[in-house]
Amino acid sequence: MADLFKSYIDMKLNMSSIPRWLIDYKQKEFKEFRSMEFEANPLFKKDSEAREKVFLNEGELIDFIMNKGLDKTVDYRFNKKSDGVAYRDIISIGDDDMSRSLIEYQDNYPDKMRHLNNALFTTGKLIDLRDDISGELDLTETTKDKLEISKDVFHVEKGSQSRVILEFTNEIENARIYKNVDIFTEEDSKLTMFIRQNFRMETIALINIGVHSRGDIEIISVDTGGKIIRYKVYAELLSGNTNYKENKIMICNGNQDIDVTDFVRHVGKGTKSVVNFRASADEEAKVVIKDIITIEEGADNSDALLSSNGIMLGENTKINSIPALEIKTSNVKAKHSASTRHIDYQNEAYCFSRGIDEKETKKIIINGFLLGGLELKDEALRERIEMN
Amino acid sequence: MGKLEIKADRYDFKEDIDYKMRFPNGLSEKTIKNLSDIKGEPNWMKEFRLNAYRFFSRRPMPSWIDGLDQLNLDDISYFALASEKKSTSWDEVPQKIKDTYDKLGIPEAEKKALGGVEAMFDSTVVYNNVREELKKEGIIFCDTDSAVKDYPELVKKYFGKVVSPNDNKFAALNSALWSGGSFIYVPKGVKVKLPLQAYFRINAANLGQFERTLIIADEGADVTYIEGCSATTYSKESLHAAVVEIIAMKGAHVKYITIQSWVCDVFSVSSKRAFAYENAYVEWIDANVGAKLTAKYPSVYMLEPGAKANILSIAFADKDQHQDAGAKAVHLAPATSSVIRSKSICLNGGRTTYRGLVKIPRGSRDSSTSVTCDALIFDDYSRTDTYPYMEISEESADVSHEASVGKIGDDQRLYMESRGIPENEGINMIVLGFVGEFVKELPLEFALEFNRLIKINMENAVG
Repeated sequence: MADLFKSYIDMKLNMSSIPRWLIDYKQKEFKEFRSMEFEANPLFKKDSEAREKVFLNEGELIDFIMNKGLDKTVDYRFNKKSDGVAYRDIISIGDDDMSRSLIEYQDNYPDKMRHLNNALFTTGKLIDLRDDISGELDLTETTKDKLEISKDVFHVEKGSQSRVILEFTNEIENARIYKNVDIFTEEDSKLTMFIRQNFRMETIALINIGVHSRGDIEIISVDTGGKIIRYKVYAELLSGNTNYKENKIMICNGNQDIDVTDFVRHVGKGTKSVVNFRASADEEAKVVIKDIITIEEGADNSDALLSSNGIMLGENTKINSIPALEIKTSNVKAKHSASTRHIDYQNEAYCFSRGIDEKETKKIIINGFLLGGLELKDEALRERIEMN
Repeated sequence: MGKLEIKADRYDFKEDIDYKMRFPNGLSEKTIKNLSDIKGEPNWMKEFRLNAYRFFSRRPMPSWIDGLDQLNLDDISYFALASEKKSTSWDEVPQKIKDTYDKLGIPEAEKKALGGVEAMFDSTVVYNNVREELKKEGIIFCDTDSAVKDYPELVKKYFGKVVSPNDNKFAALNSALWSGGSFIYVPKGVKVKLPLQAYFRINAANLGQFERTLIIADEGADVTYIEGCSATTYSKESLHAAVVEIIAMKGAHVKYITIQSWVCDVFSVSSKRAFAYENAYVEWIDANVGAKLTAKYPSVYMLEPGAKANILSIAFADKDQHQDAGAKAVHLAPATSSVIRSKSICLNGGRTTYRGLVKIPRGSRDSSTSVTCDALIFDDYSRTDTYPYMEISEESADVSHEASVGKIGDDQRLYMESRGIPENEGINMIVLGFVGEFVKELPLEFALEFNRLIKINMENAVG
């Protein structure tokens, strides 16, 4: 089966019209995928049950390739795109294009499924946010089929001040969605990115976001949909004095199984990170939040702050937190905190005594928990989040 | 900043002992049978040991503890007999062994501040004594080997029930090879006014020490137990793999204090666990100094409503040392609470790791837990990691965790210097303040000794 799979991949790739360099890249990534065990990080012995359900076996993958080939399965709708934003299909990138290095970039986080996505993606965009004009982009990616494997690359050029709104949705129930998203920010750039995941309720999705930052970046993400979601963020702060801010809000209910892993690696001197997770879990939802902040030797004067908070709203919910720190140099400040609580009865009583009904009370308290402390100067973005 | 040292070498001296018996290096079923025969144990204990050995043989070495792969279990001797006799008077203890304990200050501490003392030298207990007034109250404090013969019903009821032989590889190894350790029973309502102490000394090279301690505090009982340990430096590794089981019945209070000051070639891999019943309160106060590798996670399983746990852990890692220590709190009943505090210091290339678990399954209503981890890292060659796990499935639980890592602040150092306090002394004061929470938990004599254990030298002080 293993050799058949590789042979089939090679055959399909060679028959396609994609550039030779991309074929070579995909074959290399497929080899890496093959060589790895699942969950390369030995830190987490206990993984969520979703792990076994998320990954397709080779038979299912071959079936997908046979039926879909390398056709596109994602509809990209640009709701708003300023002049400072340029985009191309990854498969149109030429052999001598400097952008190729962004697509082929390898960071310090080898991950089996990331390699698989890189090997098999059938659709993908390279989006440039240029330095001379502040870029603004509002993009909705809709999966049209039962299986999507895609790769997007965002490149924020030096000096660019950009804002991106990115929304992931799908049309078909029981879809499987595998996405790699890589974000590169150059020096003196600033990117604010809002990511909303609103998949249909029976969707299984694996989203890997790689952040390779030499500029300032703020990511706000809101997750509301899907059945089994496995979400990994790999952020590396490469240049001195880079600032990284991540706010993740997860609203989980039904029998959702949400597994979030966040790696933030400080490499450059004077880098700063602030990571904030807020999750609400209702009915029978299960949430696992795993973060590792690593401050490498040489990343002097770096600061890291991680906060992971969950609120449990139902008897059968589960929230597991594993906030970790790995500090390899002395001249740093690193802190993390985690809490898991229920709705405080005193807060409820306060609202009831003001004539607010139970449903509205719960909404006020949960919104306050999820959005409180989110310093958003961008009013349009704040409205978008609150509406959602 | 200049060089900082932790002085554990006051314990690093060797006595030239003529051993009565020493097993050759290596382990097999025959080793287990020989050991049991030498001890003259009942058959049930021999079977217990052999079953444990089978578990041990099947289990792989844990892969998640960095540095454990350097331990060669084939290069360890699993039993060394320095004295055939266990004495109740220091005058009867063989001179060289007595000299060891004199240098460690044990007889003196016994006179001043302890209700009972047990001294274990390599593989066996050489001294055990309890004050008469404690014996009259029905308190039992003896070595575990004697307890197997003298109190078989009590031992059989609880031995291996808190830490089962198949719990993990090193618990299995201890269950197969255990020798020495303490057995304590405190009757209902009895409060032991003075602490009981055991001291474990490794004198021989390449030795495995497997003390087995079982403490049973009956309803309403109260006892404090202090465990000290040290060893001599050799160029080859030794292994200390202890199992400590505590049963705190309804309303009981057990405080277990460990001051570990191993030298650099000891691997210390222990399983320490307590069962706390209704309204019982268990405290683990754990200081880890020295050892090439320590892997130790004292835990409390709160089995009935109102049970409480307090775990305070200090770890110091100097050059070539890795302290992988932490705590576990498992809430298996409603209205249980736990507090875990961890402090660590690493310097000169040492590494500290906090590894902890808090588990609150569904049904443990109105339970709460608070975890705090603070780490000081002195230089760029050292490393500190924190890996806390929180598994929460109970909606009404209240869980909080925080951790911080940093170095001694410039503002703190400048404050000291501006008051005319030399840098060396200033840093000493700051570090003792950092570990102050731990020192407050110790009886006075031990607090002073602990402070002496950590002595800070400054060389080539640079501003």
